Amino acid sequence: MSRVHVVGGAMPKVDALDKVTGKAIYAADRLTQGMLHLKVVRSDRPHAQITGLSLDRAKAVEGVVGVWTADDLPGVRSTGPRAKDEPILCWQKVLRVGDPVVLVAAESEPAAREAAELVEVQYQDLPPILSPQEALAPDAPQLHPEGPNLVFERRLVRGQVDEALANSAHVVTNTYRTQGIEHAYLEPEAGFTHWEGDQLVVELPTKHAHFEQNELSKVLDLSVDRIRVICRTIGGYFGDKQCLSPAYYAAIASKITGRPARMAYSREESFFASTKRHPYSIEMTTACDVQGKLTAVKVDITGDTGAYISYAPSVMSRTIMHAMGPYHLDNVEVTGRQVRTNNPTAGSMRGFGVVQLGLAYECQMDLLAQKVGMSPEEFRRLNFLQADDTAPWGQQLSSSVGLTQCLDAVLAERAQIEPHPLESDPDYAVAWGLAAMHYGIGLTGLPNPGVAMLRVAPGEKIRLTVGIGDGGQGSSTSMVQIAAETLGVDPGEIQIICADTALTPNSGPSTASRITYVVGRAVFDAARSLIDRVGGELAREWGAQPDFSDGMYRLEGKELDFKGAVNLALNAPIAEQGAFDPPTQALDQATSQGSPYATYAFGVQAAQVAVNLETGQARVLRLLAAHDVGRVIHRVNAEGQVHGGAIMGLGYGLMEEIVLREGRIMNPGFRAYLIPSAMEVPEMKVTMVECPEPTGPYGAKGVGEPALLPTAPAIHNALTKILGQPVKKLPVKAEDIWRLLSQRAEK
Amino acid sequence: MKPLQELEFRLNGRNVRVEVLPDETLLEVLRERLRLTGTKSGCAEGECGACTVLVQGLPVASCLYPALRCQGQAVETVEGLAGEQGLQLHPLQESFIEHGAVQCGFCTPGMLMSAKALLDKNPSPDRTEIAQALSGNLCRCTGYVKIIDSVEKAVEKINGTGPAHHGSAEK
Ligand code: FES
Ligand code: FES
Repeated sequence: MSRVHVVGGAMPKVDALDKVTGKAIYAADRLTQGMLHLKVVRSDRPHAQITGLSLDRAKAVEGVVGVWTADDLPGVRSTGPRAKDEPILCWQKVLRVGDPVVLVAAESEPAAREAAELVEVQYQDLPPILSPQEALAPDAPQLHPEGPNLVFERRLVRGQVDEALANSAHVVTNTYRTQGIEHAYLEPEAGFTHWEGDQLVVELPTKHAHFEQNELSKVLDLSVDRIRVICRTIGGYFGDKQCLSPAYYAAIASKITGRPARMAYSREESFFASTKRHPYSIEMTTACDVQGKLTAVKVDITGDTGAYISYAPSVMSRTIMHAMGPYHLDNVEVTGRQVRTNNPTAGSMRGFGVVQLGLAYECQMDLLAQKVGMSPEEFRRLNFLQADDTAPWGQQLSSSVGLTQCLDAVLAERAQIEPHPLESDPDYAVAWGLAAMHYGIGLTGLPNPGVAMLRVAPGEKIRLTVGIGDGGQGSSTSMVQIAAETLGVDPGEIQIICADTALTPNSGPSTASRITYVVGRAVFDAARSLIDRVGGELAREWGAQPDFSDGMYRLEGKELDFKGAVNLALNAPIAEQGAFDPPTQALDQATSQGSPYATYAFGVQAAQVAVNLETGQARVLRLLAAHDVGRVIHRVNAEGQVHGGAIMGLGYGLMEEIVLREGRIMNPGFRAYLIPSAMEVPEMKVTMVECPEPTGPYGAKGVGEPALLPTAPAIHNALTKILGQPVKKLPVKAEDIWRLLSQRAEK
Repeated sequence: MKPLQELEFRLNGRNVRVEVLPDETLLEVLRERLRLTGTKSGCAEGECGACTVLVQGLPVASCLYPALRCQGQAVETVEGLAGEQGLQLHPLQESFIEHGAVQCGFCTPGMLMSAKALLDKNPSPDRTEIAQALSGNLCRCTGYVKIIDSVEKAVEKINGTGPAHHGSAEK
């Protein structure tokens, strides 16, 4: 045990003071003399050939500096987080409403707006393909020149599914549908660019500064060393905020003109420009024996990735590894595919292809439990993955599997809760629903090293540099805690610098709930190396290598804390790097068997839902959440992640949906696209279960995405109890409930 | 170009004079002309509350509020919350830091101002009243629980009442 204990505590967030005083700098807060204001003219057609452009009227507007098309782009014309199939400005075809076509730069915001309105794009409409079914039809046109509409397909196979299904006592088969939703981070995307000498400085919120630097180098045709990317305060990202963004357009304008530029999307433009969660259609057959032991699951999943590939393959790869839920199964067959259409592009969002499946597998669990005559909790308990299990993807699990503990924690909470007044109100029906989850931490079967640097110098603060910005979850604070705990110093002694390509190493992306586990471990390793290095220096003073424990160097009765040792033994700064790449094994191409993640987070949630029998309106009264996070690094922040994730899950379950008509978003703003407000918040109780992960920093795994996953399935399961049958789609709207209530009344 | 007009008002306790266009919003004037960027723009259509400031003590969506309507009025923004020198944190600010109300921070200035307006008129609100007062301020990160907790704790601090007086769902 080290002397200073900060891990597991709740020190103030390192960035909270700036945020409560209005001093934190977000990209849209930047401004400089002579900067350009930008507007992008976007397609209002889902699928069309560009036949002509009339730009003269726009160019004639006073204050207009440039009206640019794809021909004016300085570098590559297309980009994308993975596949590079997304035009920065379209030159031939538009594939969705919102596709960018023309970029306008002007001296003022009003001039840019006026000019953008005067740009005329002539189109020849093509028949839009608005569903994966249409896109996969044999006579469907290929939408993108780069490849077929079927952009990805992958299978997971284990055991003999058909045989097992034939021999099972109980089998349920259902089709489930989930919707596209908006990330709805409160900060619309923004970017600010300016030249410092011959280096272009790009300031933006991003989940991966070094990716942006590399990508912009191609987009701008500038060498990497001439681009500095600084991640500004991130006003929420939830998986998004990487690649094509207003900062790219600002950078292009700066490259063409040599001037500073700023662009921020309006909320409406953010809806049209940004990616959504993949809508899925899921066919699932699940079976068990007479005793309730699961025997087989067969799943077929089709995702609508919209106009561009974005993260489609990564999302679906993760989907199929999570399609069966956190249960022991020997016979599994999962097929997942992603299909290009003329709908809004789907991309990376918190819960990354897993939250959709939760609806399906958790509903199946309840339906099977009912057939067997078991309670949902006992049915799950019987089938949960255990620490010594081989998972359905062939991986031998480690010690850190806390599902049963999570279930027990939720049941214990539920047992203590007072009856809710609505339970005795004849106008309402009230029920509890339960759901469990697993989530692999880190990228699926890919190397994803995290890197961190620590630097010390006599009389100076310890400097910690990491390549990732803090999206609000408190990652910077966790990194400081891990460093402080390991070095045995006060967290106030550590200064953290985040995500600036000129100052920080590449720590990989802020994705896949990997920051605490991967980058946190890199911080831990950097601190251990630093302790050794400083110990080596101290040995020159003390005559022999000291031991380090409890935050103290010790040798033959002498002792000195870390800072004391630095001040005594160092006369120049020293720095150490920590790097951690979680041990994973690539998946077998045909069967997806392997060890795709080094560790998994687990969780169970229970939701108490009330339905107004008159209106069909559903309200979540209580939400109980228990999450196995390995080890809590920051208690308040971890709880905050669960609260925020669960409320996002509530929105996914009951409220949110991107409504499309002919590929066009009909609710592009908070007036028509409703996210939960403070009034929707149920009574919540969060329990942290700690089953330490041996390879994680102090045993930590991750919690960012896991928190979201069981909420909508738990709500849906509660509604199934109330309605006597599952709705099988998200979101569950009052009209869906009302329809099933009236069907039930008729029977 | 439309002519600039002179606007004079009290901003965080100080008199300011600034030239503005007749159709400029208070939010634009604060952010772009006066460089007070603590007040955020999350939607510019009155739906998210990120731009909330107080005009004559009442919370308004500054993104829809014509700047010229502030002529001679008192406007408070997040920058003025910690006293004129910015050194004395408001109990709400302290509480937001201490109890985890801040995640990405983009909703925070607006939340603080809405909460301040509530406490100015109702010094001991309960959880439901707090939630109601904040219902026009969207937050995508926190799930609101710790924001409501923080306001509740600030109330306790201001009134000198302990947690035994006001129970929180969380603890
Ligand atoms: S920015 Fe004013 S309400 Fe959203
Ligand atoms: S803290 Fe991010 S929106 Fe509230």
